[in-house]
Amino acid sequence: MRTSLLYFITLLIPTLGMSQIQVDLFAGMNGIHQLETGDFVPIWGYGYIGSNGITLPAPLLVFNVDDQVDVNMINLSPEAHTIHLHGLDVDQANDGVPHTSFYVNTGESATYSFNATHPGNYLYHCHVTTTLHLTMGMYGMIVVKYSDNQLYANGPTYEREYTYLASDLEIETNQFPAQAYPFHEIRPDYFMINGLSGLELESDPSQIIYYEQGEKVLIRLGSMAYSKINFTFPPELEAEVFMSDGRVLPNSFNVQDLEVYPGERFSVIIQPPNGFSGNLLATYFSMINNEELQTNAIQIQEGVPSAIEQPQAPSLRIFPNPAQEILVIETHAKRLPLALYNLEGRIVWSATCSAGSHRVDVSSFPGGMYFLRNIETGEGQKLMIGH
Amino acid sequence: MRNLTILGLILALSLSSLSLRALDVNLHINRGSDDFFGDQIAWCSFNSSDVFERDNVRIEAEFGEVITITLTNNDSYAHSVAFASFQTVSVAPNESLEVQLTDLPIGIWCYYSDAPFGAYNGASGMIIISEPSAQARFYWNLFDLNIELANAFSTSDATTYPLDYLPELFYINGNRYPQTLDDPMAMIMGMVGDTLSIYIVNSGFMDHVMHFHGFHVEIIHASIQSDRIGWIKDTIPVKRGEAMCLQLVANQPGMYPIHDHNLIAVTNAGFYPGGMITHINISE
Repeated sequence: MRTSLLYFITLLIPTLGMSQIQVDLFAGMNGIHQLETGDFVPIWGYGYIGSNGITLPAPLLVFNVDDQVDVNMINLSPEAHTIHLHGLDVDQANDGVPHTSFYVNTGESATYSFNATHPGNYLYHCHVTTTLHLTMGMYGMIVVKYSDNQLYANGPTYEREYTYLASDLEIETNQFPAQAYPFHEIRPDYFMINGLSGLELESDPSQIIYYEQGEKVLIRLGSMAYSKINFTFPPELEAEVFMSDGRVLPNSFNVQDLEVYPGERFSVIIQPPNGFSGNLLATYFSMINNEELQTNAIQIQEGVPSAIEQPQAPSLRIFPNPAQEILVIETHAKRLPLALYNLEGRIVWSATCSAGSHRVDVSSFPGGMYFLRNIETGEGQKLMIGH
Repeated sequence: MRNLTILGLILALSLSSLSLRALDVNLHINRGSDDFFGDQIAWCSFNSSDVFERDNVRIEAEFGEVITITLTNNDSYAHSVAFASFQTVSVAPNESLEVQLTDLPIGIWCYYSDAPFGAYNGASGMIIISEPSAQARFYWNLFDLNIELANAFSTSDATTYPLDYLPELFYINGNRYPQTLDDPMAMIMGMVGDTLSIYIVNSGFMDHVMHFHGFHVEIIHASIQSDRIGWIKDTIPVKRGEAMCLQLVANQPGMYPIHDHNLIAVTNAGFYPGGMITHINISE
């Protein structure tokens, strides 16, 4: 499955208030990312446990306001890593900075916990030798949202949403990270939106902003780039900026050119006029001398292909975890082929679930760790069964 | 008649107190250096005496105060010193002169030497005009340089920054991390419940982006990005030449980094960690 599609596979929309949510990630340094040219570069990063590997960017994590979140990370790489929850204002222990919290060394696991108190867009990234580990790809985006498509309490609503994480890398650094010193000479020469660049981005249906007539579309923007990025909205879109860095702006404002610096995030609502077709442009500028480096284009088109709608739907939610007698599986997907694997890799249960809630009797399963996986895509979650 | 006498007394006292509102500042233009693993990097600073230090004097006055500056040039070059756009004076080597700044509005500005061996080598400080406040204040004067170029400025072998400027060292108040942790003006200290003010000028030659761990801050003042005043953020771009004031409400205890998210700037000549990193330490 393409990275861009994986990126849309997210957590779920709980139906009742506060929920305890777990995300199981691993950190790796053995990833490969295909460039627009067809060449491959090594990447480091994060992936879901049970998935097919690390992705660039790392999986998009979506939570509901008031969720209590545990991000579990096991380090399967030969070097230490962390997860810094950028912008979530976690306490010191969960901040993911080695010298003020802790390293996650090779083979170790750690849990980063937070309460999703403020809706908005956030980031997560490794904070070990940050200048190198970010250009190598160890970053992703976090969204905290209301389940009713309300941007914030008593805020505007939207019918559809898209998330774009801008980033860049220096190809030579990724190819030869051991020779990356001195880090201040890192100069990005490959520029991405959701891991895609140039024609690759423009031609990927999962990256196109589709809308139906009269719809308001929320665009979530974030940057993990070394460059400054100028997002240019066509004036017909009447783009309006409502939030930045997980906080509501005192006054929303209309925008055509939105500067986004490294680490910043914005929430912008557009309302394309009927029949509009165009591009949201992302132009990258050097932070050192403001030299223009590259422009990427995100297509905007009327009419939503049915195949594209699915990535916006939540895929899977399981609870309780750990489970004792009954495991509940909730999905909004029309068809979800699932299998439960034990640690030996054997399937102990399988079914094709339809949209709704499903109860699985796990009382006879031996206690321990299991993986619930989508048989077709390989994506999945870790599950503990204890009696 | 009695009322008029009292009114006159009040007026006289008010005028008398106004005339007392004055701030005297000594600014010495000093030549010095920074030692980077044995390499000497030429520096120029505004100090309060003829003793060199890389941190420039902060001119901090209450609104309405008359600022009288005694400016002494201890350097061998002449310097043209701009106090933002309020006043510019030239001071010859070994000359001393007096500058008076009056009626400055509330705000934050830079003063700097626009000689080649001046602001390019660190001679840029902060002017803060504010109302009296009990809030604890912290100050970040951001600066970046290229070692070879800085030394060329000091000998007049260079007079301007080239387009291929390669910044190598990144400073807050003349310090590079971990030196910044020893600077009580840069490292933010407070108690839970405190409201803290952070005054920033970007005296460097590129934009910097300060990211707060653990906290959001409100932009109280921004000289270039004035449209962002009132925004509450965790990642704050500070454009080249910009002056800002941020307000932080310490709502949780702990020690957290604050650093440039322009990630080449958290190195010392490429070695991580370094440069523009400081910390916030909030006690219960």
